[in-house]
Amino acid sequence: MPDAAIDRTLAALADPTRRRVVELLRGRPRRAGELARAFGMSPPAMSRHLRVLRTRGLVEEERSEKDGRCRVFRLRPEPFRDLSSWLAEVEAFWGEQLGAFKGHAERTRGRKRS
Amino acid sequence: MRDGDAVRVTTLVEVDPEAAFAVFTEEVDAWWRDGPRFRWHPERKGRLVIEPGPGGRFVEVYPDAAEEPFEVGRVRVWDPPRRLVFSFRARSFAPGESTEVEVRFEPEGEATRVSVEHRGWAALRGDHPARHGMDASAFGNMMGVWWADLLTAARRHAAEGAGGRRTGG
Repeated sequence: MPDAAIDRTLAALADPTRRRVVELLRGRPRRAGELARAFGMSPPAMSRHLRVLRTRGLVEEERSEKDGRCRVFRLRPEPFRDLSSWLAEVEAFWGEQLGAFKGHAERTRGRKRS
Repeated sequence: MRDGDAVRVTTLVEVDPEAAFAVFTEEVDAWWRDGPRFRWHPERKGRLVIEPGPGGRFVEVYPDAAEEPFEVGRVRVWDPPRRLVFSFRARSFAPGESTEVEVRFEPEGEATRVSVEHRGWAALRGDHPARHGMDASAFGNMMGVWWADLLTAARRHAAEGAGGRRTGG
């Protein structure tokens, strides 16, 4: 079942700009300025989106090694794993159910083999 | 329904589709697994019933007549021996929250391919914008094609597994 962490992830991703930022970051980590330019946005506007993504745990930021003033954003894998493991849970639920169904059906109605 | 919004599981059963459909519905209590992961109120020792026909209830009924049956869902499509669609609620769902399960029975040689698709997870959130902190337009976006992309991406991302898993968070 979806839990609070997954809700947070989905809420952060409810905004189309933030979804596109996540898509871009899937390619590689990027600087804040680079992201602002990619969307034709002012740095403060992009900064607001990045803050939401960061507080919801979807991205993390680090200072660039080359230039300490420059912030680089990268995707954190954990929230994506949570989404994926929630689906895996539902899959496991039905996998076990269908296994039980198959066992019961074949035991009680199995066709006669020649 | 959107691809990424669904979970699909399939199995091959060595009975014909008529028998598979009958067992799935009439004998649901016999094969549906026991325990808190699978039943709604396992401590009440209930029995599962799928009432045949469109609009039929899928309920867990209890030996103690004072206990109201738990309504898991309702039959939306009753098309024996091919297809069964019903709404599906977990115990934790809020009133009005529901998902959908579609079961297909397809002949494969002398056996039957039984496929379950459990979908509607995205809609689950939209029913409760306050609880989930999303307004209606955000919900509309969630339901877009992008939802499929996200879950596909999520799986790929998880599979690639950048770095070790952290606990907590």
